[in-house]
Amino acid sequence: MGVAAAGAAFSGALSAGATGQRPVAGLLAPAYEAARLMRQRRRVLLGADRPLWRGGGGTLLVAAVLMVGVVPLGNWTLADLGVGVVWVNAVDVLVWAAAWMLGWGANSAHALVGAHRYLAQALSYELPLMFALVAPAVAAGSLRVGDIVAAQSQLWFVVWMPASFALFCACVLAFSLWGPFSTGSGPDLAGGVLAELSGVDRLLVLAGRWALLAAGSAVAVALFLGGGAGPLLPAWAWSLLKTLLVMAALVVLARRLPLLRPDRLAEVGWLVGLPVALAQLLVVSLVVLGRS
Amino acid sequence: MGLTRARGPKAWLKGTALKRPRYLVVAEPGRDLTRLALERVAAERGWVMAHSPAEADALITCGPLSGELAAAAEVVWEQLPGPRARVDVDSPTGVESSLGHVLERLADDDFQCRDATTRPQEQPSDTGHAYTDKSDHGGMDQGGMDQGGMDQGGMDHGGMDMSGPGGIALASGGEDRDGLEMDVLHVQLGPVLGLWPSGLVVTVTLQGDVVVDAHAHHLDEAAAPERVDARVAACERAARILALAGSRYAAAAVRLRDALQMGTEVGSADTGRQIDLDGELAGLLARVQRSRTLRWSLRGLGDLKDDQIEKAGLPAGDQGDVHDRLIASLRLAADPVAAAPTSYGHRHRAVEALPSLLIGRELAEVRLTVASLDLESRGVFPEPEHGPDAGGADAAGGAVAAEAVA
Repeated sequence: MGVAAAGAAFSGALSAGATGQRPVAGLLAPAYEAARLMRQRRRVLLGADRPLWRGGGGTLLVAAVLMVGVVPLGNWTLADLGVGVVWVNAVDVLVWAAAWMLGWGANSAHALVGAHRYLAQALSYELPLMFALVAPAVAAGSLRVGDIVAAQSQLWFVVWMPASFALFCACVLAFSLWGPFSTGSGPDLAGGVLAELSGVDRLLVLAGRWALLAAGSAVAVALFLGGGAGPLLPAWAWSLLKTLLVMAALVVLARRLPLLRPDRLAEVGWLVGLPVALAQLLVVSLVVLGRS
Repeated sequence: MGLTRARGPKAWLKGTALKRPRYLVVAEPGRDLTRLALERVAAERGWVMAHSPAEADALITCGPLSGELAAAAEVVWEQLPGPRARVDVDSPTGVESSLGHVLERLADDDFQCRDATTRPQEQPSDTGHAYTDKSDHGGMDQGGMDQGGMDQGGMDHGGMDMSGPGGIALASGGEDRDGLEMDVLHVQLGPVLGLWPSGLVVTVTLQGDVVVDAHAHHLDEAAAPERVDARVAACERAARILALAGSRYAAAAVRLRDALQMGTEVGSADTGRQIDLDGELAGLLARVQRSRTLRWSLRGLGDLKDDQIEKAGLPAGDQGDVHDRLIASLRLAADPVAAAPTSYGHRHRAVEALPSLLIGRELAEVRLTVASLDLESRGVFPEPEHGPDAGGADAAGGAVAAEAVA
């Protein structure tokens, strides 16, 4: 959560810099917005499917927590499942559900179109994401995240599977419904799935997106960047530090890209992303075969 | 539900919450100078423009509003969740005090509690009363599913049955372009919608996110409008396209628009840092032209051929796709001797021809296409004058009518 807040503050500072204000003022922007939303009333919408609509934001936060659950923080893991990598992918699908709940539940045309967009986007990024996740698992010979971290004691996976790492980072932005992948809440839809949300409902969604970005960064660190491996500092500190750095890099990168409309994204995801992910997987598999 | 009234929230929370209010603007067509002044001052104070009524704290009207727009503003005002404030600004000089008034209103707990308890029930048991007079209007983002009507009342029943949840008619299905059964939704874009030409209303029929039918009209135009400088208008158009495309250059374009506007205002001694505006605009143009991702993202969208341009009566410079028009707008903004158009007559023809340019396109493309064309309703000007117009501000600085909204 702290990582998510730091990321939000960093992004606020960058935005402020872009609009010609003092970046320091931007650091506090997320705090201002949180306070504003805590003071704002929730709305009661006509004909809305209230449980679904109100549950969407909470679902995003829960998904982020579930995802972090399998990531080792140094030597300590909340739940080191034997199928940790599959778990991460399953949680990502939970995000689809949350996006759809937000869009469908509001009984609003703009929110519904936003939900459609997020699902269309998911179809584009999901397969590249799956194969990008498979590469470190194949290399480590295990689906347990702890084993994957241990397998990187000699050499971080990012060194010999950079394509998988890059794809995974792009997919982290995608399942955070954020940055260039936020067409479903874009300005052309008056906020899309966010269009009808106010007060604490809105706060949950915004916080959930940042939490997912933080969780995704933590997963990237465990799978590709050697987890807590590093000199001097204890393992947990390295995990945190790397997560912060990955998140900062993602925030900077995301600001450089325009919105990727789902119709354009499908082309990239299936004609570029998927072949690249498979080629990388082939290379990794051959290396593993050669070793054994 | 929704009526959780924290009596006397901690002062610090309130103070923090009021640091960055979000506001919606509803401007009568032809009140562009007032609107631009408002947006500039609000940005200086760190206020943020809201995308939809749900996230807004304040509704600021540049009026006086009339007819369809006034009705739309009422609907939008009902949708602000609260704490909420509403003011009317009637000239560029009244902006500062209006924003101050908004802050006072938002901070006034007693007023907000009264407002919350006296508001109409947000969920009318029967859609057939109290709200029907607002049918048909109102902006966008309140999309009750089938009618672009509003979630908090104001549905336009269009003679449909009332069998669905909350008494709203269920959407009917229809075959979309791929032969799939898709819900058919009627959504009104405008007149209150961010990044949208003022005074334009387009009613679209959507299947998924594809527009299958569209009708467009302009609101009645104000007499004695404020005249906007051509460079400012072009810069605003570019800023809108960039914002809709999610480009990082959007903020810079807005900043330069405001700086340009400051430069045209009579008697505005720019005591701040002197900036080389023409140089900055040329720099922005160069950066946008260089951006490959932006080109890739806008390539081929809203492509208008010469015959379509001619038929719609649009200026010849509008041919090509959205990216071409973005570059053209920025060129115009960066041109120190840009001449104002002498007549706005083409806009009526353009609005008539607009549906034919939009049908069959996806909603994002529709929004970008509309933003890239000069469809602003600028009000009714006296017969065209010749030569470039410096767009001096309306000197009629009226008092601000900041009404208490009961």
